Amino acid sequence: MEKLKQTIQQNKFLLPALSCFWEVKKLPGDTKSVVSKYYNTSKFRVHAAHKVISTSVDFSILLNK
Amino acid sequence: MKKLLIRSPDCVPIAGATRGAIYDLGRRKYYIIPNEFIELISEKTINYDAWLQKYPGTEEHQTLSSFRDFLIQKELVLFCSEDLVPHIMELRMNYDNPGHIFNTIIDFESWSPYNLGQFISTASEIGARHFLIRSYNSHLNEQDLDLIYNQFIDSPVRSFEIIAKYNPVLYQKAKVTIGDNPRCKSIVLHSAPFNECIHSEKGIAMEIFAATTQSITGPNDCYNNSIDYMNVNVELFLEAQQFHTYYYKKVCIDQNGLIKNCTSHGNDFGRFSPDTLLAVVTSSRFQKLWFAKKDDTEICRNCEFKYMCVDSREIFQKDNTSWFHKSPCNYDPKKSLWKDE
Repeated sequence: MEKLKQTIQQNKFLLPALSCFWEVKKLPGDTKSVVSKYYNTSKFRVHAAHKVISTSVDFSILLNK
Repeated sequence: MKKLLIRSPDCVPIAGATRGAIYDLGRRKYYIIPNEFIELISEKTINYDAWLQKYPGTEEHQTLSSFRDFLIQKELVLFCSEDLVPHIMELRMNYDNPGHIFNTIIDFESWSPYNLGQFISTASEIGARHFLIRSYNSHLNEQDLDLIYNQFIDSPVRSFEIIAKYNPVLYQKAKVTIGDNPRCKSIVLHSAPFNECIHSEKGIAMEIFAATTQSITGPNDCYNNSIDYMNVNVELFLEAQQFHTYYYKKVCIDQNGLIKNCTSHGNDFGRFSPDTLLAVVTSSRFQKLWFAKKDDTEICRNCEFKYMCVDSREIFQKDNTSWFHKSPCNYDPKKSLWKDE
């Protein structure tokens, strides 16, 4: 259990224990939620691939507008 | 009848180097958790009493109780009568995809020596359903955009995306027309003087139009993998069990008309011709990279994101066993950190 506690304490996403179950970050701003929706919603799944074709676009630049 | 706590078959715990993740394939979500918790839910049946015995102590029991509550709250587990447990089937790990190829990247410039329409129709005939058309340097005009749109009218293609260099004329045209073709899922104009992202949704179709200051001058600028690109779903998860999720059933054509696994690669499989494309993509030499699954790849095999990641980095094999990447990933599973984090 010591190892478990250490893991929780060392990982910034996993503090405290109750909040350690880190859901996919709620993406801030319109662009990120668009990205998330675009690649994850069932609507997208109906018409397009289940995966991205490439990672050409650096979304962090779009986010920092 | 005694009720048991069962892990949902489509909720899969994946251990990483320093932390793990639960993939909720049905809901297309994931949860990062400590590896120690991954061990606790590795079996189909959740044995809470065994957890308590393994970690005695009041504080530990509170943590374990919280974890169990979390699993129940997120419906990652379900209560099930003991007699029904054998009837809960495990996820079958088979994956197949009709068609010789599935998706295509086309690097195209105004001076490219091949016929764009001919390549699109040939690729779609042998199974390609998703296309990405990239232009790095040419200033495509309105006619070029119409030409691309027209290639996908009355075709079996399900979606296409365009990445092109910004110019004001193309910007206006693309912004107005993106919604006109339901197969067009996104248009991104790079090297723009500003950043803009517009998302529209018409019925069940949805599109993204974006202008970005990012400069994409060649295929080597196209590795921008990040947490935003992680994608949990059952198809990708199953595909990743057996295949390389980027290279599998992908064919690319570079600006010079050369067929490749990825346009950033130095090696090619000859110049495109409608008569030879099928022979190329069905050759074992072309398909070699398709089978480089993450579990056989150094570093990736210990990553909690390995079954939700589409990684375009170049790979090579040593001694017909493990695969290695030629460049580092933007995520370090040993530190659990993304680049610049």
